[in-house]
Amino acid sequence: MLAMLRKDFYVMRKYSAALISTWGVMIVVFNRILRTDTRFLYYLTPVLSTTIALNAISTDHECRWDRFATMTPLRPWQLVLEKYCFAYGTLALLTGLSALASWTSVSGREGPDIWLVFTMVSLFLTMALPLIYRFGRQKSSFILLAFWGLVAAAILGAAYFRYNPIRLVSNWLEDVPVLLLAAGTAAVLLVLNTGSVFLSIRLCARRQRGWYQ
Amino acid sequence: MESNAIEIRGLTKRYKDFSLDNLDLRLPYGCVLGLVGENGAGKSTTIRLIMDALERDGGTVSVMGTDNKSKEFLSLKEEIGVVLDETFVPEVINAKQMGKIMAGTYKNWDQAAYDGWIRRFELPLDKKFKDYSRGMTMKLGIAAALSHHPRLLLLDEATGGLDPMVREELLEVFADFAAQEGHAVLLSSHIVSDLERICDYIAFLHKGKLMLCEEKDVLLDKYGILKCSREQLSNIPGKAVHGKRVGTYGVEALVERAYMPRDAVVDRASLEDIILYMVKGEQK
Repeated sequence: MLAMLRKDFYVMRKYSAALISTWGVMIVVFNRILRTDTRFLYYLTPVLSTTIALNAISTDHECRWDRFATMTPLRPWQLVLEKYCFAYGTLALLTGLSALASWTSVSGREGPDIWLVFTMVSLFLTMALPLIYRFGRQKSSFILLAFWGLVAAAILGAAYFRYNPIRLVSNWLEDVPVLLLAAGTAAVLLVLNTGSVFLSIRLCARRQRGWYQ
Repeated sequence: MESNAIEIRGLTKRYKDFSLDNLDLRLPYGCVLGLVGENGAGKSTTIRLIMDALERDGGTVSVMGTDNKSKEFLSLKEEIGVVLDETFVPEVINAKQMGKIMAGTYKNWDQAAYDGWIRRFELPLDKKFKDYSRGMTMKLGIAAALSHHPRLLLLDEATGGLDPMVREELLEVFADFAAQEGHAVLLSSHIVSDLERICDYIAFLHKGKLMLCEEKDVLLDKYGILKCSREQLSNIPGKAVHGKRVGTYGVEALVERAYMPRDAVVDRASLEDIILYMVKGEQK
């Protein structure tokens, strides 16, 4: 599995470096030169990890590495677990960077909100990774877009009828002790990700054997 | 030790528009088996089925005495080197990095052997894969396939699109590999001259069907080219003629020597002749 992590690191290094450098420059410009509210940048940063992780998978498809892997002793579970590790490694790194940068922000620390973004990105990954193993990059992007579009439409629709689900959830969460909330969120993410990993392994094995071609 | 590195019986794979039909093949140790056929004949499908990288619809495949559906086969992949006809390395990776990735993929990876092959093939260590020529790409794939000390090499169009010098060099490598004890090579190609040069056995796939599978020397002895008039051809037993080409001045036919009259003059047929006439014969 380390070999695959190494490969993804080599492949995504240049792309990620460009992405993170751009992010760094934006932080400096907004935070230090323009002295404006930079919260959106901190929220955006962990989201970049989804692009990096999904690109790593689609690169494997494009260069036919996934086909070559079926000829090697690598098992589907190793290939899938590596992608989850890579995705979460990138997400953890970017969330950490974002949290660190937010401490120097003129608009104040944004720690808890960044962890909320981490949770959302994690939820996204639990959906996106099995989908990409089943449908490939292009189709799964459309499916995800449609799904999140529907979610956004539902929230906006509810808000139109003066029923703001986000505010309701936020109000409810404010009464929950932080530790309990963190533990509960971690448990839910763990369960969802475990299910997602097993599903992805099954789908990856089927894709390798030509079920979805 | 079992006598065959690969033994295939009744292998079948059906697609909507193509079927690999009831394939029987065997590759003895110490031999090179050439799998020849036009594009889309089923050569790559066969290799993928041998590696159990594709769901089959029927038949059995035994590789080095192990059923390729068994759990043991996954470990056995350590001893099989595969070179695919298509590139599989991400374009930003170089030969040095490739070695590191492969070292984590194969338990038997031998970095010194890999470095040796890279030197022998004169491949640049730091040049990115995207800047490689087709020949360099294939050499890198072969270097990687040979550096985990496989006993069996599966080569899918490994000499396709290469200049004669590089092809010659690679064929020499494959022949040397097969000559070692307990080794075997399956080489798929549509360059028949390459196969004729190094193969011990020839299997000819046409539209998913195995047209022939025989020892090369037996095949070359068995068939010949008869040049004669139409009238003369009509006197030859029908079962002797496997294909013919009718020209203005006469007929050229692929014939089976065993059924020919003793006084008939039959020229030597090349492997390419045999295959071309068989396809044409089938079309008629």
